[in-house]
Formats: sequence, C-alpha cells, structure tokens
Amino acid sequence: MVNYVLKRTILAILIIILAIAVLFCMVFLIPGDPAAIALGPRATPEIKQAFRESMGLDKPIIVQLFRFFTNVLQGDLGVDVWSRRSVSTILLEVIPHTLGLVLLSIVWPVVIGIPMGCYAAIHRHGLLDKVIGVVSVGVIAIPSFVVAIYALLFFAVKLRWFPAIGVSDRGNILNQVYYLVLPAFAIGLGWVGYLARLVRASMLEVLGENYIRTARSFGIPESVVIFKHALKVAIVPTVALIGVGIGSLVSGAVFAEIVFSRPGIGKLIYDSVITRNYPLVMGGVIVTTSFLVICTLVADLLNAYLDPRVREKL
Amino acid sequence: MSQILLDVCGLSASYLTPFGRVQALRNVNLQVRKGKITGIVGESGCGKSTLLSSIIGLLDENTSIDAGSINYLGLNLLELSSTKMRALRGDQISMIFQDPLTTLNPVISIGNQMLGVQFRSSSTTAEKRQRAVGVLDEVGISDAEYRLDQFPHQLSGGMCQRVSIGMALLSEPQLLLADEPTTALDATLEVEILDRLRSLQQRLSCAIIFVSHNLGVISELCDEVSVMYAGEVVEQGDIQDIFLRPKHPYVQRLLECDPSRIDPNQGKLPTIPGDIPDLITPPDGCSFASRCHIAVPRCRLEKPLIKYVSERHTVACHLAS
Amino acid sequence: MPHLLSVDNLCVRFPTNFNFSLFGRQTRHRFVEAVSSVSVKIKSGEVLALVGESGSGKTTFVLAMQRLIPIHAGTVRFCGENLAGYSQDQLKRFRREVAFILQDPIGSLSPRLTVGSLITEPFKIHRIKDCDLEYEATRLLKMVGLSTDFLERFPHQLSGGQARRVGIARSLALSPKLLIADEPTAGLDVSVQGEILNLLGQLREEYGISILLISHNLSIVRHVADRMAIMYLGRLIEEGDTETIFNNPRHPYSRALLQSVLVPDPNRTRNKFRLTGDVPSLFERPSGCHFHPRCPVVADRCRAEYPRAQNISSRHWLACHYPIS
Repeated sequence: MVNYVLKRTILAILIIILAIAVLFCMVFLIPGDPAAIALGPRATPEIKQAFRESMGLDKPIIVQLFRFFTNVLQGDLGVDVWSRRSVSTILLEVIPHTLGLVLLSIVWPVVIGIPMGCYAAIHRHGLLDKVIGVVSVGVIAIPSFVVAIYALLFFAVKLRWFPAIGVSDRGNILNQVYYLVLPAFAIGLGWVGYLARLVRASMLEVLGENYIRTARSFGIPESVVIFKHALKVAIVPTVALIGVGIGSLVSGAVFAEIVFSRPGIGKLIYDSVITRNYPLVMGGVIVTTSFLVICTLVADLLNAYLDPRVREKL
Repeated sequence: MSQILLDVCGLSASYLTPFGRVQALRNVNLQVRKGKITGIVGESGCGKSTLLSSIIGLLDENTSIDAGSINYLGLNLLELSSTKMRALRGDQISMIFQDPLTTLNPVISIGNQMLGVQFRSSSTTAEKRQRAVGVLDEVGISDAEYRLDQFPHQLSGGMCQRVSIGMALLSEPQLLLADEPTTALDATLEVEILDRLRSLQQRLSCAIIFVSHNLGVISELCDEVSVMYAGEVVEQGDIQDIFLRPKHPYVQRLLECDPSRIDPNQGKLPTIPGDIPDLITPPDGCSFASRCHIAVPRCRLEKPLIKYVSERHTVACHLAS
Repeated sequence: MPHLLSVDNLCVRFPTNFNFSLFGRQTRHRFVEAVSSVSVKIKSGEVLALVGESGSGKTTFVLAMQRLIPIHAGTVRFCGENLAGYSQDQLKRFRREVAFILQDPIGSLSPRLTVGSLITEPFKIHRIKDCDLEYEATRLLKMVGLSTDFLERFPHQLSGGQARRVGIARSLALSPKLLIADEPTAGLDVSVQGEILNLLGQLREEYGISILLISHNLSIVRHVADRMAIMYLGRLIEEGDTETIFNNPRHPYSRALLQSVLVPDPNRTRNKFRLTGDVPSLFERPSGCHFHPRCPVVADRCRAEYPRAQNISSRHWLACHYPIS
C-alpha cells in the first residue's frame, strides 16, 4: 500500500507540473498581442515594449516557462494587470468560499444518494425503487442553474428561509453554512441522481456475484452482507466518480456563483477571461487544475485502500 | 444403520424463463444419513445444483418450490422462517461451490473472511485466528499464517478452493453440501482434495452431499449415490449397486460411455444420441424414453414408479427387474 | 519424407509488469518463460496429444507455434519450410493449412451469423471466389455428421455438442492438413463426448488429417491419440506412444497424472502415488528438476540438476534422473 501511495503521489505531482506547463504554453496560442490587449489601443509602442519586457514576453518560451515555474514555487503567481495586486492574494481571498461551496455541494448528495442507491438495489422492482429511478433521472436532467434560479426565487425571495445573495459577513461556521445552503442545493441536486443510479447499478452487479452467495451460505446477516461484503466492492466506481466530480465542480460552480452573487474561483476566472487578465486566468486555472488532480489522487488512494487489486496496477 | 439426517420428500421446483416455466426438479426423493457421503450425479440440466440450492435455501428470485418437503432432523426447512433458516446456514449446514476464483470476496483478506464466518462464536479474535490457521493446515495450505493476510487474487485456484473448504468446515457442520467443488481443478489436485475431504469428514463425522457429473469422482469418494436425469432421480443405492449392478438403462448407458472404462482398442466410442426432453412441458411418461434403447410404448405413456431392487437400491423404470 | 510439423526448442517469454518499488524488493525477473525448449514432431495422418495441467504452457505453445503470439527462440517448420521467414501473405496461406479449434464452442461462433455463414466464412476471409458456397456448406456439414437443417440455425439454438461440430466444420472448410483441437470435449457431457472423439478419429481415417490434440483429460486421449507428450511448467517431461505411456509411465509426474484418472469402479484399488502441494508459479521456478518439490521419489540430485532427456526406446523418451520402472 505504501508503495502505491508514493508512486501515485509522484505521478500526481508530475501531472500538475505538466498541466501547468501546457497551460502556460497555451497562452501563446491566443491571437493578438498581449501588450496591446492589456494596455488598450492608446498605448504607445514604447509603453507596450516596456510592458513586454516587464512581463518577460520577449524572451524565448523555455526561459519564460522556467521563470514562471520558479515564481510559482515561491508562491508568486504574478500580478493582476488592472489592479496590480498579487494574484496569489486575490486567489486566497476567493478560494475558501469556493471550497466551502464545493465540499458542501458534494457531501449532501453523498449522504443522501448512496443510501438511496443501496435501497433501490436491495428492493429492486419495488415501488420505492421505481420512484427513485424516476426522481434520479429527473434531477439529472434539470440544469443546475435552472435549479439555482428557481431555488432562489422560491426559498429566498418568496419564503425568505435563506439569504438570496452573497456570503456571510460573520465569522462563525453556522452562518457561513446558512449562506451556502441554497447554492449547495442547486449544484448538488443533479449529483443525488448520478450517485443513486451508479450505486444502484454497481450494487446490483455485485449482489449477483458468487462471493455474495458464499457469504449468505454462511448465514451471515443480510445487513452485514450488504454493507461489509457488497458495498465495499460496489462503492469503488462511485468513489472514482466523486473524485473527478469534485474537481470539476470547482469550475461548474460558476453558475451558482453568478446566480447567487457569491465570490469564487469560477466567477473570478470567468471575469478574468473577459477582461483578458492573463495572470489571473493562469493563476485561477492552475489552482483549479491542481485541485482536480489532488481530488483524483485522494479518490484513487481511497480506492486502493478499499480494493487491494487496485494496488497492483500502476 | 445410522440416523437419517436429511430427508427430501417429493420435492418439485421450477423457474421462470421467457419461454415458460421450466420444471427443474420433479418429485425428488433423497435420504442422507448421518456421517455418510452421498453423491448426486447427473449431466447438464438434471437439476442437481437446483437441489442443493433448495436444501440450503438460496434459490434465485425466479425459482420457486412447488411441492414437497425438506426435513432436517425433523424440521421442515421449507417452513422455517428466514431467520431460523439463516441460523442453520454456516453453523449446521455449510456449502462449497464450483468456481474457486469467484467464490471468495476479492477485497477482504483471507483471514478476515475466515474470521467473519465465525461470527457466531464467542471466542476472541486471536482464538478465531488460531482456528483458521489450524483448518488451513488441514486442507494443505503451507504458510497458513502468512496466507491469512493475503487476498484471493494472490492465490491460485487450487488454494482458493482449499480455503473455501476450510471455511465451510470451521463451524464443524452436520451437513456439507458440495456443488462440483473439484470440477474446475486439475486432476492431480482433485485427487488430493478428495483425499483431504474424506479425512476431514472422518474427523468431523459430518454428512456430505457431493454433486458431480464425473462418475469416477463419485465412485472414489461416496458411499451412496443418486443418479438424476431431467429433474428426476432415476436410480439410487450404494455405490457398489449403482456402479456394478445398475438397473436403469440411462445409468447403464452412462457407465458405458465413460471413456476410462472403455477398452482403448474398441474403436468407436458409444454415445447416447438425442437430448434431454423439454422441461417446460415435460413428458407424461418416462423422461428417458425418447433416448432409451429398450423403450416400449408403455414407457412413453406412463411414468414409472419407484421399485425396490434391494433394501437400499431403488430404480424408476418399468422394465427393471 | 519430412514431418508435417516440426517444432524445435520453442521458447516463449512474457515480459512481467515493470514493477519498480520504492520500498521492498523489485521483481527479480523481467520476463517469465512460459514455454522452455519444447520440441514436437507430427507426421502426416498422425494424432499427437499434448497433455498437461494448468500452468503447463500447452495452450501458449500452440498459440506460439501458429505465430499467433511472438516466439522468443526456436524454429517451427511446416512441410519442411521454416515459418520464421514468412511474410504476411505466406502466413495467410499457412493458416489455410492449419486449422485451430478453440475451446469455447458457443463463444467462438459469432451469434449474429447462421451456421451456413459461419462455416463458409473462411472462404470469404481468404477471398476464394470460384466456389459454390452452398455446396461447400452442405459438404462440410456432412463431414461432421450434421443435417442440412442446421444451415439456417443460429449458435444459440445449438447444443454444446452441435456447436463443437459446427466449429470443426468451419475449420475444415479449406481442407487443412493439420487440425489443432484445444480441449475438444471440455464442457461436454460424457454421453456426448464420444460424438466428437469419433468424429476426430473419422477425420483422420477418411481424410488423412493430422491432429494435435490439447487436453488435460487423459481418458479421452487414450482413445484418440497415437502418441502423447506430457508438459509440466513449460517443459516436456515425457513423450511416447500412448499405449506405452499408459501401460507404464516412467516419469513420476506422468504416473501421478495417469493415476489421477478416476475410474467409476468402486472395487478398484487406489494406488498411493499421490502428489502434494500446488503447481509452483512460473515466477518461482524450482531449482534443478522443477518437479522436485512435489515428487514422491525425490532425491538430492533432483534439487540440483535439471535432468537431460533420456531415450527409453526410439519412440519414447523422458527427462528424469530416476525413472520409475
């Protein structure tokens, strides 16, 4: 297991490095002169040249890449073109909000969706299984921003149960969660459907396997068979999906951030792209990419713990 | 004569397919005595696996028992509540299965599986582990302590099957059901496993119902044998009776077809032409009539009743004397 | 006249997963040798059985022999010609002469094609234009003893024995000289095994086709094969006429193997020539004679030195320091 953890972690680090390098090089594919775009049409050639030199844009790509990496390792992600504030500072302001939103958005579907899927598999063909089936498809089909808007209108504006916009200005956790409820609900609703369906399908497959028959032939109580023998195997594809899902939720959260006017990385990246704020785009994308790689790493490690056969394959 | 441990009376079972209801078991009678090894032999489609699943109560969703009773020490297993039936499984009645590689849970270590099976025992974990090591030694696994921490995919098929047999015998059951446990193993390993099974059985004096399609294996291990064809028992008796003095034409032909009994210089090997009858609408008369070389018109019209050839040797055939 | 098929010192190796460990030992070997120096010769019209249990390498050998998997060392000669230099076209022609029947009868037949299409598929694959497909299909069905009713049936409508026969019919389409049958009776009931074995015998007698039979079932081997070769852990350990070996197996493994054939005769005395333990993994080949950990008559020399082939007679040889008499 230790071997697997080490190998997989090293692989994750290599992936992050490679992803950052590729992202960096992609900036050069964007048409147009960065200096002209950044400084506006009225900038003189001298000002543009000075800008290029200060950004190091006139040096060869490899040198720029190397300089960039050394900066990143020191925590310097560059400087916002407009406000001249450090990119790292800007990111650190918004990351906690997005992180809180993403984590809450995945925790509640896990807590509800996985037991739903288990129940549906055990009571296959029953009434509740059919209801769960229809509901799952329904919630997957509705786009999250539609849910967000309707949730906002109904729960915040009409019923006034939850705040409509923004984040908590008070320090305590409970208040912050209060502001997160509606956005997390909007993003997570589709996930309940995904997880329920996936868990149901995996469980059905596993429950038909010979080793479950063996466990039952020893008179092991059905609850132990389900949770200790079957779920442990069936949950593996779900864990992998959640790992990838959390990573991609960061960018998917942009809809909820816009509808609920919350600060967050998704909105930040979106705004930066529109204003051609390259350093901020780069910084934001590096953060989201790294987050995705780390999430998949954790998911893989968890799977290796659950299913020892995974440890042999790297 | 030892006590009757299991008495299957008139058992009929069927399962649903898109084409209709298949009568997998038809009026099956079987008696298993304490401490004896009973074989059930038959070819594909004869219902032997369904019979074992019925006894241990692990039938598929779409299989149902239509008639009969399964009496274990006086209790009718078919009438027991699921809790009481579950109490018997893994304690008094254990089962081993055919495919060793899929019978064990791939994500739980061998040791934890063997501990899990002892869940009824009030011993400490260390004691349970000790018992597991002991039984693994008995089934011929070297380095048993080390194996407890391994996972099934790290063991060969033969070793997995040894583990399964060990697990089944941990609780020292009264009755062991064995569904073709050596069919998937190499011949040299098969012989060793049969030897170990016999010595374990002698130590525990449990009864075994051993299902196989291999006549040689049955004659090697069992004391008594029942031959099944198309869901029915066609002949039953001691192995001496069945293998040396078979009375049913199917059993006679089956023994003739076994290549190990045939003189190599014979030339063409005998076969039994035809197929088993359609079990969705089984024939009114004898099931074997369509393939029987001595069938008479009565065979196709009337079901043969069970006749006693001697005290323990029965046959279901109109023409058997 | 040269042998129809002549395989000399065939070796097949598989690379192991390159397993670098940060802690703990690395896998010592970069490859595992599944077949080591196996030599086999088949004459025209002869039936040779290759016998062995799991891990013996018999299926790997047969795949390598037909160039379906890469060969590490050794030569394969068919009708005197070395296959090593063959181009793709020449190999294709070789495949017409050597037919391979796989183990799973129903799985090896495409479920969407009728029996008629399946049997005539080889003609289409090898682009043989000037032939009457329907005539060929009927001829092939007749060769394997099936009526023309079967032409329009689908694989799922066939019994195990019938599916096997369709597989054999397909392999006979291009009149091969050699038929390789991998476990032809696996999964068949005893009452229908005879059909297939009789068919194989008939193919040899009426059409002079040579057969390489792979099986772990010794009782059927006795009825069909003229000669047999026994493999253990990738090596040949004994080879000779079938009757000679059955009557007097000299290698301890052959003896144990033959005595593991259980005859349905309750009065037969059981010989105590039993093996213990499991077949070792190919990663951990025992030293010396690799059968020594399980051999009931092992001696010191067996642990140190691999036995060279000994000729008992011109047609019988084995590899053992102390053959049983």
